[in-house]
Amino acid sequence: MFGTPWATLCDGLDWNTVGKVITTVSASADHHSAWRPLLPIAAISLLLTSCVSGGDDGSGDEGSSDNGGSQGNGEPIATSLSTDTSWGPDLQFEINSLERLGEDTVRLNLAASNIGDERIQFLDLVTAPAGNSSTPDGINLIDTKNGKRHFPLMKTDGEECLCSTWRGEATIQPGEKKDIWVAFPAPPEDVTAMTVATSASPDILDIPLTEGEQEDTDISDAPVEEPKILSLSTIQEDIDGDSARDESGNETSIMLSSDVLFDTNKSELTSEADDTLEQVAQEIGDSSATTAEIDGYTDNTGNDSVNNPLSEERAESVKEKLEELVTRDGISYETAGHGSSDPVGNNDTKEGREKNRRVTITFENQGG
Amino acid sequence: MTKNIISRSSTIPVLAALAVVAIVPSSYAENELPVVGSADTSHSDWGDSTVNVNQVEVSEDGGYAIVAWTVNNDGGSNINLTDFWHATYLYQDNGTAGVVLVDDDNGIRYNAVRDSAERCLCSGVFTRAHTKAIVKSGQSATYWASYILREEAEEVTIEIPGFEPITDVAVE
Repeated sequence: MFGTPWATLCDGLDWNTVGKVITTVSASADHHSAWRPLLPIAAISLLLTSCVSGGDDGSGDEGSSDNGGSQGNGEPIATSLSTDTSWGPDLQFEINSLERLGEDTVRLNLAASNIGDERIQFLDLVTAPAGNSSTPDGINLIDTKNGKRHFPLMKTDGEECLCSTWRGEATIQPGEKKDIWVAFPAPPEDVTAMTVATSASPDILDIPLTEGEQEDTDISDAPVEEPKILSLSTIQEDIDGDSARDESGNETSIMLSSDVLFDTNKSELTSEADDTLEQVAQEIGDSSATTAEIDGYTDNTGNDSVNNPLSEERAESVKEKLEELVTRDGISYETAGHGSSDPVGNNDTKEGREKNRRVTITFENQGG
Repeated sequence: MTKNIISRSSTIPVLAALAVVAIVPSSYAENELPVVGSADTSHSDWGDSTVNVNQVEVSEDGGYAIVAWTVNNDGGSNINLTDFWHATYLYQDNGTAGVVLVDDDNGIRYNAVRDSAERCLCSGVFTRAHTKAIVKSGQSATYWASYILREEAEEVTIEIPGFEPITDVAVE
């Protein structure tokens, strides 16, 4: 948990200390009469700028919808580390709750808190790339258990998110908070926590999902567009760089470097290819997949009349080999050549082009 | 008399504190963030810049890890958010996907997560008016990216473009 950066300054400055400081400073100003009125005021300013409320209930924020505030004792469940905005950690997101409302909806309640001493222009700090200004449609929830990215529910009328908005009230003054709520499609019932991606701060992990206490049919019954939930994937490379895998939910895609499998411009497998393909065959055999897709790709050098057939022939060669090696029955293989389409790497760099010269083998792999 | 001396000498710390507050407002207390690893720059134009890794934390379920790092520009030319784009793999709309986690023990290099629209889950995918996209000398900025780690990943080396690798960082 990352608390208020100014907390230590506050801890050392309580009202007793303030009183003593002001008294002492005022007394000492006998010899500096011009300063006399200023020092106590300055001392109070010091306190006001540095000792903003930490952990208290949001100080009455205009423009927020009801039910959007922090619950219980007012302490947020978690706070953001910092932000990638000009205000850095002076802008802090406080996650207050994540509630299931009905079967299909969850609502995230959070606050954007100004713990610095400059006003924050919050206008579109959590707005999506093509989203609506003054709305939090850039905030996502991550179902880490299932590897999914949940986008805010969008209302059918007005094409805006089912969420709080702050039109005309974009500024957050020092010491103030803006309450925000966003509705999302619910994850499966067995999901007990989600991660909050505000898009302006590092993701905040593992926020517990609770049952909403209040009946809020305004939200759970609101007419919304089809939910948008995208799968997550990640490219994990073998350290030697010859192969990589792209794991996405229940599908595995193994990317093999063509430079290892084949000689330049050839589609016959090299002897080095055997070990690698043996390992892949093992994995396919161990999985419950009934289909394996084999796709060949090239980089963007040369031309399509060479790259397209070459990539197809290479996919075929890999298929023939796998058919020999995979011991389990009941698997069908599909092949395709894509030439220089669908690059994964940046063709402007040598390393990128190398990544693009590949054959991928994709199959269903539960619990991969 | 003693009282006067004591009173006078307490004025100075108060004034000093006020002076500090007066100077600080335009930057923020980045030194309050946790640090789990640091490195110097390897970039010839970045002077004495350093990077602090603030967080390498993984979710309870699913191995979803968040890595956050703060760049401190010390005497260098501008450090840009675009310097942290991935040099090799393509990510729709880029973003700070260029940080790679290396699990030397298990021989795996992890690249930043993408969704099925090919966008990374990281900072800078959409640079807004107030995104800290340029870090000038004397300034700092915090960026992040997400990864999906296997259970066996316990310690990683973090490769941040423009900086020396940071070894032996525990995955929390």
